[in-house]
Amino acid sequence: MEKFSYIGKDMKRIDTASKSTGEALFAADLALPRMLVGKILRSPHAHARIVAIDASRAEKLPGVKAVLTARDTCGDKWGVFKYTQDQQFLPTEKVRYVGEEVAAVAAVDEDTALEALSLIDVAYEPLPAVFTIEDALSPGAPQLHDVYPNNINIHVHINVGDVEKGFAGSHLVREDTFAAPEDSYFQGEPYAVAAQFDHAGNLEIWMPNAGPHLKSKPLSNVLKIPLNKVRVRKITIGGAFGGRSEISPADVICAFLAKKTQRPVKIVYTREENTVCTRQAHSMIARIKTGVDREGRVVARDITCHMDGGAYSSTGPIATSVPFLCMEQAYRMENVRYNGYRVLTNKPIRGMFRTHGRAFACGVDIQLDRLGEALGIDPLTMRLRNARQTGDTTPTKSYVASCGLTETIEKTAKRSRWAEKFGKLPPYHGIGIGCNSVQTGFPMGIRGGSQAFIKLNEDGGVTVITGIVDNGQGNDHMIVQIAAEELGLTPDDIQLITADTEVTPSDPGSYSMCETFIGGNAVRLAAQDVKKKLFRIVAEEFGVGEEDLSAKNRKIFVTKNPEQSISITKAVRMALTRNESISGEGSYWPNVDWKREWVKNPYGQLSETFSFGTVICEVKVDPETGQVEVLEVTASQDVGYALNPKVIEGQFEGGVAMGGQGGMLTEYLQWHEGRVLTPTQLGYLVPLAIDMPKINDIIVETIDPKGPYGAKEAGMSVAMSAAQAYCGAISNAVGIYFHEYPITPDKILKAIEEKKKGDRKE
Amino acid sequence: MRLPPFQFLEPTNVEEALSMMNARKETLKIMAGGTDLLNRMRFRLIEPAFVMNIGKLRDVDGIDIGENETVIGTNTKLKDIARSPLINNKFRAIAEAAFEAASPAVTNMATIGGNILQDTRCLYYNQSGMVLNGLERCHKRGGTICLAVKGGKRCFSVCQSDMAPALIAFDAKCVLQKKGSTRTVALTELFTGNGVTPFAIGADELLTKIIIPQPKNGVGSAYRKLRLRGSVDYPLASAAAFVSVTKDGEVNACRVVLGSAGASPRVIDGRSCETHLESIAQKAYDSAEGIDNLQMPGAYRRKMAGVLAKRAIKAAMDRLKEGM
Repeated sequence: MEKFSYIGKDMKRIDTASKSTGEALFAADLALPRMLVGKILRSPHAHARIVAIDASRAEKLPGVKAVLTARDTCGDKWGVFKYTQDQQFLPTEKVRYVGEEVAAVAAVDEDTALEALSLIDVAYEPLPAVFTIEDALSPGAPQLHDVYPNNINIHVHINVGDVEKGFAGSHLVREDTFAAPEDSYFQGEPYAVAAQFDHAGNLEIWMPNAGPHLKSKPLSNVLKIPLNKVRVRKITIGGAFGGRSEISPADVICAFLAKKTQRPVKIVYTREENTVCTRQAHSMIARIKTGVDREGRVVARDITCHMDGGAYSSTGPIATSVPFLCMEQAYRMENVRYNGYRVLTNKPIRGMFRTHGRAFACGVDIQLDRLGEALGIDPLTMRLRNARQTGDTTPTKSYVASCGLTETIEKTAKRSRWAEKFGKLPPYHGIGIGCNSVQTGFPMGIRGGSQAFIKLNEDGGVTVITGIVDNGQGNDHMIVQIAAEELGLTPDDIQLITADTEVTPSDPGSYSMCETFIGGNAVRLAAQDVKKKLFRIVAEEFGVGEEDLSAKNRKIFVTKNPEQSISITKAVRMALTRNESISGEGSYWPNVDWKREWVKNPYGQLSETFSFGTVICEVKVDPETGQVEVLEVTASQDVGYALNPKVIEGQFEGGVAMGGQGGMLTEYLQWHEGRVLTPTQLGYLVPLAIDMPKINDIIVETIDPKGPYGAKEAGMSVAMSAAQAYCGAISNAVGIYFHEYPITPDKILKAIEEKKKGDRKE
Repeated sequence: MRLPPFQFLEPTNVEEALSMMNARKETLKIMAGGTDLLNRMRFRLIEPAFVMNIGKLRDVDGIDIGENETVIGTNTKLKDIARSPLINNKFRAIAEAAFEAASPAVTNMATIGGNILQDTRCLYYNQSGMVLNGLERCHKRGGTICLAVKGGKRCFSVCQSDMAPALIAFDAKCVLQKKGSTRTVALTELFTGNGVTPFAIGADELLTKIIIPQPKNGVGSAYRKLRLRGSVDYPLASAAAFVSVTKDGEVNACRVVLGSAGASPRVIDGRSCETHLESIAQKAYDSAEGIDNLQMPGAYRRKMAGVLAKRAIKAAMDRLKEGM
């Protein structure tokens, strides 16, 4: 008999039919009786004092049911951490970026709402603004917040070993600077939120989110109502990529409008609002100094990284740390110093992103290539010599329980025929490699663990109740697979109630790649709890030990004699008539160091486990236009154990599209004084199906000791290493190492021309 | 975003359409496929009182290939032009331009007339209020400054039509009708070169037909377009090339028409340098405007005008040799 019925199998996801037929409802699709349209007035200034807001004309417009200003939200501030509470839901004194919320209306239809916005008179006193890291840090620069002198929002300092001694003892040392501008998440679904209050003061609210509990707590705080009155409901979500994790001013505005009008209100963002007024990814300048020994092993590394955080803190302390953490996980380094600065500018707010820190990650890899070249060591060997190994401890003291990085490098190299290609390709052909690692969870305080319940029906079917949220990556299916496997049921027997703060227990949310590891473990434990209770009844009936039983195909049977069996339906009915509880509970609290803190104490177990990925990319460059044709990409990741290989392949391919094809070639924002000029699909060039290269997927399994069935996370370290591989491949094709990203055709052409003229030698 | 309010008109024949236009002049905007007009209306760049859909005008739809000339009705969908075996055979650059104009979803709707008469574009103009609010009005929005070129005394918005360069390469003409009169002009005359008012067409005039003269003897043509993705996008630079020979095989016409190089397509007579591709490239580079008002730096786009001109001519010459 096969070990598993569903785990490890290619399965069609449970949400496939509803999404492909259009049955699935997203927040913007919601239509509630008497629902009003909410619209937000936004700042046309990058930095200005708000002198006065006069909404009287808007209030008088027929069809307008409520106007909301900072008076209503009382100037309350939000921040992910106590020490970063700096963003008012509606600002009282200043606006700090073009697009910041200033006021809002609820009206009977969109035309009326838009007209009402035009009738709100806001008097601004424009202030000088800063739009770059350099300008923000320069002496005498305009200051965004009083509490952050010199516009430095966050400083993360990490120092391990003896860096100076390491450099002194290095055979070769290089120092380079790498830069990448901000990128956009470009979720398929623009942001939308719908809210309604009942007369008992209960709030019901729907919006795309990366964790309903991450939304309910700040709503409870700002509305000053207890958590049991905040019902963040489940809704289909069209992508998050790190950009849906925090409370949005729109959530608070929508709730206040619903409260004021006592009618349901829905706010649907335009594509432009989604690009500008949700979150963007940080732009970054990374200065990296690396010393290696004669064999190319890193002896010391010193990194200073400046990130443009935009106008407010958002997830600042996390964002300032993660680029470094990913790289310290991927590559061994003993003596290392990191200074990460998050700098505030008058640009939209930056948050966590799926490929956060590409200037850093690409920089580390490009520098390894350059050091290797000087030493006569090929990039592949450089990676293998520095790759993290199982049983290691990272510089900031995380134990690595399972690590398949070396296996991903070797398998990816073999599949992409690296040895036959590197250094042997025709002119303007190139091949490059990138490696990366991501966490499966952080120390996330009180919501760091997950709990799940399972309820049985009298016919043996079950309902799983968990706070796990599905942003589109397939978490719902993961829950069904685990529950069906453990209980010996079929996926059809499993119903889900998920991501609803009224019903579902605490969960960290789909944040930091932890849902399978933490939430999945909780579901598995809940299912095992149910199974144990059913087995106790059946064991008694059969006169065997509980440990002698198995569950499969809706039956409980004696493992050694499958003929001796009873249907699960019957077992449930027996339990009911005997008044025995057979509901299940499970909870999982990851083994991380809860004293670890991003700024104050960046040492200790960060995450219980880590994933590792390698991508190799082969390209051809048109030397006259600088355009890149990607010939083939091979993506590989240590996922622990592949619960549903088909879904993982989808994640790999999406990762290549986002991190490599889009992130390195075509996706970038154009600006004019803090204004995004390319906020739409015609401006921000997300790759099309026709643009995608052939992708080979390689799943590496290391069976993590604590992951459910050994699983970790699926696809993030591919998304990140894809950027690095593209960067290496283009550099290899042109014979010039690129330090600024994305690598658009104009930059490539310029490099080729300079190389021809002899201005640039590599 | 929703469309602003307007009154919708839908004539069923050209005469009716011309009467409606005559009565309403500037207050009326013509909608063919709607792929350009509706986007500008959504952005509130224009808020016409009347929108007249010409999609029901069957008398100006379709391709008619005659002995001396080919007539394409203004309503003909780009998809039908791209797929037409006769257009592909005789006017390859035109078929290529139609195919490359956009994604299938757009070319199923977009028409040849609409593509020619699409408004010029600029990153500082084709935006919603979210971007434009708080910015000083530029020339194209009725102001006196240019946001793309500091101190710019005129509008540098760009003609991003794919069809116009290809048609002009074939020396196409167009028929403009208004109530009571009809005129036929060279397609080049339709373009003013002024980014604010890019078309020399009356508010009461309807573009009804495009006429392509039948080239004599051997002809080769090609259209080359630069964009960062494989579909959907407007050209960042483009070049249509046309080469014809006499009975004796001597080149008697060689033209390159650049798109996305200014407010109108730029025509380059390549006869004097038809055998020397680098001088064609230089002429194209000299002729193109490279302004930082689309995706990618203007200097790069200008350079690419040269590369595409060269590549289009080369492809046209190769096709001529192959007898295509």
